[in-house]
Amino acid sequence: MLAVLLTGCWRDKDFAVEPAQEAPALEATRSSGTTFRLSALRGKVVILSFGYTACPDVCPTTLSRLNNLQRRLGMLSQDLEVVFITVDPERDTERRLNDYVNVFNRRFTALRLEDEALTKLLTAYRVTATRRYPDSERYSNHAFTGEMPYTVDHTGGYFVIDRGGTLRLRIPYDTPLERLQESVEGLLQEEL
Amino acid sequence: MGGRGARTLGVMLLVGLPGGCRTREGAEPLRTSGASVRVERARARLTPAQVGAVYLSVVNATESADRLLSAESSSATKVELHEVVAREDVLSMVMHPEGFPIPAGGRVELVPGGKHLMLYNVRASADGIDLLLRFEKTGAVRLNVPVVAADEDMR
Ligand SMILES: [Cu+2]
Repeated sequence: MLAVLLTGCWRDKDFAVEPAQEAPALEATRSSGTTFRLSALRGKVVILSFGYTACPDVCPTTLSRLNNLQRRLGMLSQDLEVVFITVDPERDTERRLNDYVNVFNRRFTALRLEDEALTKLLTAYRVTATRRYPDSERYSNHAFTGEMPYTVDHTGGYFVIDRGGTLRLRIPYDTPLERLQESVEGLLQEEL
Repeated sequence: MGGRGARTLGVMLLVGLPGGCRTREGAEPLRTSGASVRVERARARLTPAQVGAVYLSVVNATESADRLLSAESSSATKVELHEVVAREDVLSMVMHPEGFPIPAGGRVELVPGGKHLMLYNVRASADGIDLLLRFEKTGAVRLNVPVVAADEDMR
């Protein structure tokens, strides 16, 4: 038992945010007109993830994984909140973003911030997002209308905030689900 | 308009490929006897944003290297060969217009978070989506790809 605990603690150092810091503030107006405040989720474990809906691979993989994580956590998942923040607010309308996230899990929260608010948030979490345009020659006669098919290079992974509002872990996107579960469970089992 | 264009393309593909490609109708695997290039475990994930990804394994049981050159689908306006590449924790999708090499006696895996086919403006169908893969040596392979629920972990 002791050995298991020690191993658990030691292994989580792989992902620890050092030094642990209060999670940077996050506020956004939702389509319902209400304001989302990260600080209102004190007492819960929160996983933040950044991405965009036109992403064919990384973001669906991340969100489906989080859905599976929630399933595997069973009752514990009642104290877990998942928040997906778009890094592509120009294409991701509120509606599109909500529809997208709901396909993966109706309990997940989708947030859209624009301009300075988004820039400030990305900087605070040390997240980068850069558009990548396909070379114009290959796309000179593409079938898109009014939408350049750019993709966004962005920071992936899971930013995990503990019940006390501290940003504790930054887990890489390709971490196996079992390992992700181990880390999140660890934080869920902590007392506030 | 875009949809109709794509459908016309799809019909053309079913009728036959121009340019003398070694297409064999519905052929998978391609060679009935002995060594072959086969496609296994193909599955697609589509999202409400009308993009999608196809994952599959290509097994090359032949004694010569081959290459997956390109892909098409009547359900999508465009299919590209992509790979997710991580630089520290930043993920980029890199296009592979040169295709994916498949070593002799080896295989190439298209998996979430790695190599995949990206589908643009894809329309979902309960029957799955059709896909045509063009290989350098093997020629064209047509297959039907089941669509997996978006919330499934597909690894
Ligand atoms: Cu992405």
